[in-house]
Amino acid sequence: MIRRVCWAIAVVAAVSPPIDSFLDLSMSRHMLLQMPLLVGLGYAAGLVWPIPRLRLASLGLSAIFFAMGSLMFWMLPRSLDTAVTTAWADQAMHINMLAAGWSLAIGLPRLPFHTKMAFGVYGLAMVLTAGVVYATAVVPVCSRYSVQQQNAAGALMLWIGATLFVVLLGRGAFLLAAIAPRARANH
Amino acid sequence: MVCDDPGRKLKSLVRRLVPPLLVVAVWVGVLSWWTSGFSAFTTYSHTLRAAGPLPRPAPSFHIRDQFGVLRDTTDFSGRHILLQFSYLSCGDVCPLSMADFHMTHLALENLMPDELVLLTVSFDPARDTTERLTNMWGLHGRPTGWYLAALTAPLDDGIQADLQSLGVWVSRQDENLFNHSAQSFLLDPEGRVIEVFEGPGNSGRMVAAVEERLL
Repeated sequence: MIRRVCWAIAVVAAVSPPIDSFLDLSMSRHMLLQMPLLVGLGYAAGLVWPIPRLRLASLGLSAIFFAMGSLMFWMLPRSLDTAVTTAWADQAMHINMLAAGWSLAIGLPRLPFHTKMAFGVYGLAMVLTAGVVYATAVVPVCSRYSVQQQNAAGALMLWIGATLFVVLLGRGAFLLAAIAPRARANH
Repeated sequence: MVCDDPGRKLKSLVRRLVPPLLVVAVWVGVLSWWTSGFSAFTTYSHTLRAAGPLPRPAPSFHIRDQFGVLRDTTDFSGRHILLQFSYLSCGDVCPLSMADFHMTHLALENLMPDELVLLTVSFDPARDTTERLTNMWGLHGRPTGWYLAALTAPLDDGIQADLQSLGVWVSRQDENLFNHSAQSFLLDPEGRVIEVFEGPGNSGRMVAAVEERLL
């Protein structure tokens, strides 16, 4: 019960006007703090409320595709602009990001390791590509943020991408080290 | 054995594939609609796309040029016009766009001002006074046929609507900052937009487009 109340308070706080306005002010905060925060809260919802055991084929894959599509949509420059300028789009983004996090909580545990890694590599490529675009653009790509803010957000995305790369590589290496002796023994 | 039945295998495969493919199809549809068929990912490109196909009539704007003369952009009708919007305090894209016009002027000087006019219009009439416009014109070597002008009124809904019908998106962010599209437009003597050059670094394309029509 306490965890659920904490979750509700966290969601209300994250989308409340003063915090929402503060996060919308800079591109880095909007894209790299608010969106991951809402996705994290959506994921947490999947942990706080037990997810019903749905007997649907490929539910995990569908849930992951939904989350990837949501993230891709709201990372588009036009979507970022619209979320900052239009109240209904901002609220739609909040709900969509929470739903994306929740669908990750449904999807990820159902997927085998190699599929998770494939999506991880895809996410990494998405972050790095967007990072390069935003870090190097000399013209504003998002109409609501300055070129300087754009470049700063791009540089941060490159750092996040580099960290993600190390994490993915580490997990892959760890798994290989764990299964290789067993595979040799079976052979 | 059940798993050897090809009919059941196919049914199982379809049951597994349809839900994720349906999700992907919905997202492809949404993204395609939102980006006008994967061609307009930014507010700028969406505004340009929404302005309609070329050629299209260009709206007219009331301007004050570097000589202090009040004009209308239609005053230049009968000649080809290369038109761009900027403001002199801009720290990023405007100097690059103006450098394009500088290079274009050097290449097409012999056509100006009788057959071609370059027109740079500022969004910022309060700060871009006649004196500042003249100074900037001087910095570029006082080129004949290149008019540096400012809108005669600050941005309002009417001007914004006209700019959007041309394909230009602009928004005042604060006292000193405008975020705006960085296209240049080639207008024919009838005042129709016949070509759009997106972003800076297009002087070569501008020269080629004008030469194709005038030489």
